[in-house]
Amino acid sequence: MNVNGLPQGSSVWGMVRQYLPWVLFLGFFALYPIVFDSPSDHTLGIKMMWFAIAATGWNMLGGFAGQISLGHATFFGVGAYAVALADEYEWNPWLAMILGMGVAAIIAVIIGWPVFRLKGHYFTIATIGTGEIAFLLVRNSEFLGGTEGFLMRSDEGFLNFYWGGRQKWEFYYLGFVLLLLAVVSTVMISKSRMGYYLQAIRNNQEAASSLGVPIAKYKQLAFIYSAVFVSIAGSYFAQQLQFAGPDEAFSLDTSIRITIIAVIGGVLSKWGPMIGAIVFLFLSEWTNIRFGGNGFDLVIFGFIVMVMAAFEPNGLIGLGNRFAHLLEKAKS
Amino acid sequence: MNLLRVEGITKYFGGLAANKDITFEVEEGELLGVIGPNGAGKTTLFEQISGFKKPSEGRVILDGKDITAQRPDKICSAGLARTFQIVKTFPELTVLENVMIGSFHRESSSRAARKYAGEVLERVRFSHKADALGKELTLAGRKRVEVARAVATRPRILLLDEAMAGLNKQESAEAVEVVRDLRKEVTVVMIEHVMEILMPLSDRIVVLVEGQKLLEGTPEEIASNPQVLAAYLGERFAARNK
Amino acid sequence: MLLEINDLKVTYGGAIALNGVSLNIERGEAVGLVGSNGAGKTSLFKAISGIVPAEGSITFDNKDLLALKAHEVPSLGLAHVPEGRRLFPRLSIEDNLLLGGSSTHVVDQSDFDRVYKLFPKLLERKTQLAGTLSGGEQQMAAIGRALMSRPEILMLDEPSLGIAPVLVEGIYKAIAQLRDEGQTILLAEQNVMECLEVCNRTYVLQTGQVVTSGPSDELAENDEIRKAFLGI
Ligand SMILES: Nc1ncnc2c1ncn2[C@@H]1O[C@H](COP(=O)(O)OP(=O)(O)OP(=O)(O)O)[C@@H](O)[C@H]1O
Ligand SMILES: [Mg+2]
Repeated sequence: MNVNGLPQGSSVWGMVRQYLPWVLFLGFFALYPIVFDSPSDHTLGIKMMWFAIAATGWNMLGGFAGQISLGHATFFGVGAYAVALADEYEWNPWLAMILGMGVAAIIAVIIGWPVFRLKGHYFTIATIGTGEIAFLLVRNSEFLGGTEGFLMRSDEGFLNFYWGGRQKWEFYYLGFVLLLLAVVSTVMISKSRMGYYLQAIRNNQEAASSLGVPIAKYKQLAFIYSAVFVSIAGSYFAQQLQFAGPDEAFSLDTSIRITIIAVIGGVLSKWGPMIGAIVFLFLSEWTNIRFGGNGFDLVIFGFIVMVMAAFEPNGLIGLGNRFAHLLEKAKS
Repeated sequence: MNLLRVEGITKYFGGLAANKDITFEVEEGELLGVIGPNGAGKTTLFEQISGFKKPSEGRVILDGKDITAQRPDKICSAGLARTFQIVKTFPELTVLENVMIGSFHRESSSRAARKYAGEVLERVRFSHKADALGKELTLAGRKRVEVARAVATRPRILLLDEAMAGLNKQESAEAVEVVRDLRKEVTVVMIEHVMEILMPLSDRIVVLVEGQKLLEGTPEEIASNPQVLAAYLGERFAARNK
Repeated sequence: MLLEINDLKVTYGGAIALNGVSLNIERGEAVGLVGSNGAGKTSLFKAISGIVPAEGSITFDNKDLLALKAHEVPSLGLAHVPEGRRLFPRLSIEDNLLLGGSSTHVVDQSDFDRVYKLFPKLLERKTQLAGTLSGGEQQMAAIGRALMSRPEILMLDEPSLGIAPVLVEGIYKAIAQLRDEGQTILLAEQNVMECLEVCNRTYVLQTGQVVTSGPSDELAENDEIRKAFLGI
């Protein structure tokens, strides 16, 4: 599979290339809270998780199928509000999360039907529209907490999807498990017929349909998949913060952050969104400390995205591959 | 019974009639050649048969079923595959993966799709390029991928739109062999401007001129028809054939 | 010497496309390139046009082409008709032609007339969007666009591709006529016969190298060369 753009080298080198990313990925995320063990490090790690899960979900549609959406905050919001409402009415948050996944899937179908008639930039612009509509609906709904949103009061424990205290490593590892779920299912899909079909759609829709690929159906499936995982990230986010509000969950800002992370990391690779999440968080923490938390990080990321778009559309993963390529050349 | 029947197809682009009341049939197992000057409406005809453009008038009947203006993927499922004259290779996929997109049409597992794609590449004699990326191929190579992908969907009828262009003498001879082999299993309709390829392969040839069917006949009949010589084949062909 | 190429190498990733090709063209000459698919004809064209990076040297009119960017090449007077066309699909034929000429000089009616005389079909359809043209019509438009720039060297990569047999004759007559008017031409062709007929000299490329070259009539008369390299 050429999703990673990796040329096949000698067999040892090939093995290294195949398994090294997994070792690095599992190693880094498993050891992170042990190596960086202050409460603020753990909070950062948790943020890293929700962005990585969301961006991995987004990437099925934006990366594999090549349909760049700037409206995925809607699904993040659905996940967040599902558990917030559960807290309000004293249902189980886990069940609420699963319900939220279902609602996200249904909304994806409803939005997908009109917007998939549009191509390229028009599609992207339409998703900004649907995102803003959802944002305004939520802000103006009494039932959904209006502009304030919900403050939550979860009890502690696994069944309640909440751990208090200062260390919160439980939250971190729960996020890790969810991320693993997202990555493994992405890998499975990418190796299946659906993965190949989505790439065909990204490469050339007319050619794909001449070969019997039902374009609308597969875009829709990718959209559902991405909506579901982004909503999981939203539930995780709200449980951890004990808060769900329209500006944090449903806003364009959130959509853009999810998109930027995937794009910085590299949309053609399953690893891209994770690399993106790591880099994004560390850089944005750094700018927050340095310049205060007023969205200055987005300025920097906007700049990085521009540079990426100009020189290496496949993000940091693409840069890495170029580097590996040079190494290989130097060896031979 | 005929496998494909095109019935009174007419296509307007604004005021221009690119196809005018075209009717013909293709028998199962046959190889039908389609020729005509540039802009005669050959590709437009294929576009309508394969569902990419809607005819202004007329019908397309595949194996007794009306498939007029159905979605391209539905038509592919019905057993008709086509190639694109202006090639549409998947640039970021390897040649094998390009062909797999076709073979997935009848195979749901990746393993089976990969295996069948490999077999098809073998048949069209392009296995040596299996691992090259689509964007790295020459034009002739891309055209070979077009053919392989379409064949991999296991069609009953295959429409080839100048899929053999850009080849030299030896390569053309090889291409003729490839098509000879393919047509043992599939009915073929083939547009080609290279007569060295088209003439020896065709059972019958349809000539389009300015959107209309001028005539239809065996390669010998076509090659000696004064109207075809004047409108399409030209003096040099006539001189060479004497 | 108008164009002088020395020891040119082009590689894609690991694959070698051109391996030390040397070639030269005098002003007013028509030079042919023949060879099978993948022999390197298209790569040579791309290297001259600056579309792919190359090692070695290419001097055009005493200027070092390898030091230039792709977009600077046409204004020097090299017009490349790429295999597979590359027109602006959303612009009309007329605008495509206009753009072809306007990078080198102020286009006047005589430029259009020359193209339309060669391909009357283009005049008939001058307002049609290039992307909706038939394959052969696009090929005509691409050749026309190259002519619009009044190039010092006209580089044609398989101009007969996808062209109906009657018109192939026409295109070769036109190329011969341009040659007679003093136009310098570099022509890549699969159609060995046509190429030898129209070009003063011809180079035969095989797997990225020049295997033989010389005046076209001498190549055509030499039985060994015909058998070994030309397949005719
Ligand atoms: N969308 C369109 N709008 C206007 N004219 C069009 C459109 N599509 C095709 N045409 C015209 O219809 C005519 C038929 O085109 P078509 O592509 O079918 O020709 P063709 O026989 O395949 O020619 P070629 O041998 O050059 O490929 C051409 O003159 C073309 O310019
Ligand atoms: Mg055509």
